[in-house]
Amino acid sequence: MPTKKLGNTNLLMVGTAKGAFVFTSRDNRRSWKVSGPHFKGISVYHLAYDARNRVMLAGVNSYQWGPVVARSFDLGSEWKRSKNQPRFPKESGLSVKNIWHIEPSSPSEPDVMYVGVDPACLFRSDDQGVSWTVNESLMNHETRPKWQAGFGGLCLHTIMIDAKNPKRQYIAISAVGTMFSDDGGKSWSFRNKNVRADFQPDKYPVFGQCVHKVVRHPSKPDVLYQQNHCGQYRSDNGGEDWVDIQANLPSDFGFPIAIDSQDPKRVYVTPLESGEARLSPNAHFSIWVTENSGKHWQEMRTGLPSTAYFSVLREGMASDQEDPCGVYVGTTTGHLFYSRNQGKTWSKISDVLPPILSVSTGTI
Amino acid sequence: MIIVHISGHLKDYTGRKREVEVPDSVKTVLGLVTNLDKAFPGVKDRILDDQERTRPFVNIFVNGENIREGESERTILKDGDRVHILPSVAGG
Repeated sequence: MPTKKLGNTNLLMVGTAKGAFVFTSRDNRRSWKVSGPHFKGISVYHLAYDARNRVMLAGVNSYQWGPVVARSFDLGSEWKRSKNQPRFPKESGLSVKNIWHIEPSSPSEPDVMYVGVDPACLFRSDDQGVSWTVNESLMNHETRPKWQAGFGGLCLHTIMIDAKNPKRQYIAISAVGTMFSDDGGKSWSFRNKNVRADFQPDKYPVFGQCVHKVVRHPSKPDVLYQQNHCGQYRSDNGGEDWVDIQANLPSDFGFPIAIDSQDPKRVYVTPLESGEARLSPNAHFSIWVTENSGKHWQEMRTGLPSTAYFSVLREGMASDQEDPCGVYVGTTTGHLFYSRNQGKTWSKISDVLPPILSVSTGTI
Repeated sequence: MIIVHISGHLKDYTGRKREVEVPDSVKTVLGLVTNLDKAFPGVKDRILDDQERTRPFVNIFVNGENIREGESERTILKDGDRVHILPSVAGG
């Protein structure tokens, strides 16, 4: 199939428990060059490429020296730390433990960036990531005293800014749920109706759901998909309510979810065998894809190991912007796979990386 | 003067200097770290959390004594003191 090429260089950023690796391809993803580890020995939870300003940002979390956001204008050759890091005010009693997610805002706000942190909160930068300001509405949310952490911490791991109206924002927190703002983050409301919380006495609470990752397609901003601790879900109305789309998937559990850049009905997940085991079901590591918004799922594993006990974390899968869409998945065993054809066939990029915490893509 | 011994990734902030001098006017460990941050911006965030508490896996010693066994960040400093800021072992 002929492919439509967007830019000159495809970028694949991999955050691991021992540093970041930056892969680049200049032949339409046929071969990759790698640099790294950047921040050797330190956990990099997430990286993002801000194509508006041609800057790469990394969330770097040292268990000894704490978290920092770092920026690079040369694909990682040189990094500079943000001048004013995401920090809670003294009166909050809170302290940033980890940077979990970095998200550029819409094209209409070229200098605006967001990061999500643990303990769950949102920080905004109006100067391309040089300095950061806490979202006070979320920091002081009336329900915060009742928020409970998931196994990975009380982390804000998903940030989605509407491309046309950046005041419309979604965030997701484990184990609080999905939240929405239509006033640029001045106020937040929950979007968790019909999402199960099997670990709560009330299985359908207003908040307290363990959402693992939420995605949506820019062309269909009201259609959301989420991989939850307790199932896979789709919302057709901007999160007002959700429908269960587990259908024929082998498990309701998993962490990542990715959406095809060329088709808003095409979504990818990699289920894991139960919240207790957290391994490939029956030792079959597979990516499952739906072509009809979750009515039916198809297993995709051509090119993947025949037997594997892998686990993939919430930021461990991503799609690119090419046509046909590329899909990338990194495991906690340091295996990095990708598909150039919407998951039909898979190739290995590396199997020697440290435990992979995140994969993310960009085009230069 | 108070002599501060720097180690680990903190040297990224001090231009690889292992030892720096801070005037004894700082009075406390918190004052010392704040003073260090003026000379080496960002270093305070690495040593102390948002609440100005020493990060869990960082140890500060004043003349060989761990400040956690005393007054922590309020530990009083005087001329001639030697301060070590070290990452903890935190593992095998």
